[in-house]
Amino acid sequence: MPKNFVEVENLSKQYGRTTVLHDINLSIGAGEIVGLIGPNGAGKSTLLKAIMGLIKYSGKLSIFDKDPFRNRTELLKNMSYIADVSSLPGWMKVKDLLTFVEQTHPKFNMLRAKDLLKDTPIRLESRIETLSKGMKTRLHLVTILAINTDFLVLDEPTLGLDVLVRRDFQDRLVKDYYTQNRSILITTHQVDEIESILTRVVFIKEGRITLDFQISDLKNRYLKLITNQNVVFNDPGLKPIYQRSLPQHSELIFEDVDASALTEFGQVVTPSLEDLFVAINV
Amino acid sequence: MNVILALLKREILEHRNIWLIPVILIGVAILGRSSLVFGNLNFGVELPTQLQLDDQLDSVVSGVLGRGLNWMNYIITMTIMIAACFYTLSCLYNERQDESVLFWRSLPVSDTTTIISKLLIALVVAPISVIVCQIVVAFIFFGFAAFDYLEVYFASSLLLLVKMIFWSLLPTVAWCLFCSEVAKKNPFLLALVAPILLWVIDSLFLSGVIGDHIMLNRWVGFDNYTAAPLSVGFVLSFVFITLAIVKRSQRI
Repeated sequence: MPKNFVEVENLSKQYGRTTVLHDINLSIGAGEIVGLIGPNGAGKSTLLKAIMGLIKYSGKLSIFDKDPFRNRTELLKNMSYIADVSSLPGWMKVKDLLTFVEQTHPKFNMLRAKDLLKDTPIRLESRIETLSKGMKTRLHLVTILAINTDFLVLDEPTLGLDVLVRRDFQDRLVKDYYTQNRSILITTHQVDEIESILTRVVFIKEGRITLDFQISDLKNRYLKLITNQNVVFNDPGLKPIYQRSLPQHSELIFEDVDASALTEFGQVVTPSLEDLFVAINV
Repeated sequence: MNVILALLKREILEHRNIWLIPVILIGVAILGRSSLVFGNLNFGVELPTQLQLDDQLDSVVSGVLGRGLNWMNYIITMTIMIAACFYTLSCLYNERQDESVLFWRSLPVSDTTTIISKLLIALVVAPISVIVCQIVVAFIFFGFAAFDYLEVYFASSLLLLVKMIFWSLLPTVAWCLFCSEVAKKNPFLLALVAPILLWVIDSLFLSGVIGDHIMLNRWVGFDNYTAAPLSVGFVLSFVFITLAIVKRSQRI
């Protein structure tokens, strides 16, 4: 079994008297695309900042066996991150940007970057500020994809972009970056958004991890019942963890129950991540 | 080393406008030279004493042109040094404004290295451009006689330039970098208001000793470049630069 890239043990973080992270435990190994999902103010940015070596914390945290706060510059050679896709310097020309990254990042591959750019309308002579938002995002991604690191961290990478650009960004991430030897950690509060590319989901709320599961478990462990009947489930073995009444029907989410026990009441489907997120976090 | 060179190149590309200043100065020199030939300019105003080199120069080149060139060299030095201060005032502020700081900090370059590259621009690249400008201007004024002039001029002016860098430019630039990193809205105002306040308080309650010592003399020039203001300057510079690095490393 290969060693985990990220090991978080009992990590806590306090700002003054407010505790924003409570005893977080999390490990990420190779071949995972982990979605760290939580509402605004849940502590996901704080956790990410700790992982990227931007803040101090108490507890244990190691990335590639190193403390990120003390070895930030060293770590960035093995870990890439995109904090915000609109952060590329607008005054720079594309070729100057690539040259700069080539000279400052030992793992940057210029040939790969130029190769990836061939499929885009971006020209090396263009000034970055003249590119559309979508093209800037694409360029940022190309820059990161040309860096040969095994761990990529993305903090709300597609915030404020339209759906076409967002979808394109995610698809390229999977196609051009992801392999069995690499991992991606991605935060978002738009749950439905990234559902399709994740292999694992971590819900975080009020500084605590509320759920951590493989996407493949979603089907096995959780069910959503859509029913027109006004059923009351009192049996402790068949109790919904969440219930929502809509004008046309009701939706109920169940954990670890047999689908056959529910089919008589209505339609049984796999809940979406959004459904589950709400069910777990209300 | 490669990284430092990449960072310096980045600064030069980003602040392209600043590199127009030497070109403008050389243009001014050509104009000045032409006017002097026709006798349209005279120098009623005296240069600060430490910049006067006439006695030695008169033996080498003709007096009027020599004085004109002294003036030109003074203007070159001051303009480029002021430009260096404005550069340090804006560089860290700008990268926060356009959010590119997020991108720069996602690359494996430490904040210390980045800030050192900005210091190098102000303290090494700018003074070198002063010297290059002065050489070009001397040739504009004297043609090949410039060799003789430059030999005499640099014999004393280079030492003075080095003194200005250590006694005056370093602490000023360090202060400007600090302001550039911490200012929320206007680094220029912050850089200006704080010293003025200090100076006012100082002259009201402490009879101006501190203000003169740590600030004013640096900008009007010292009569004697002594160790006391130098060491105060070093300590202040160290503090400001360290604070700028720490502050930048806390940006998200």
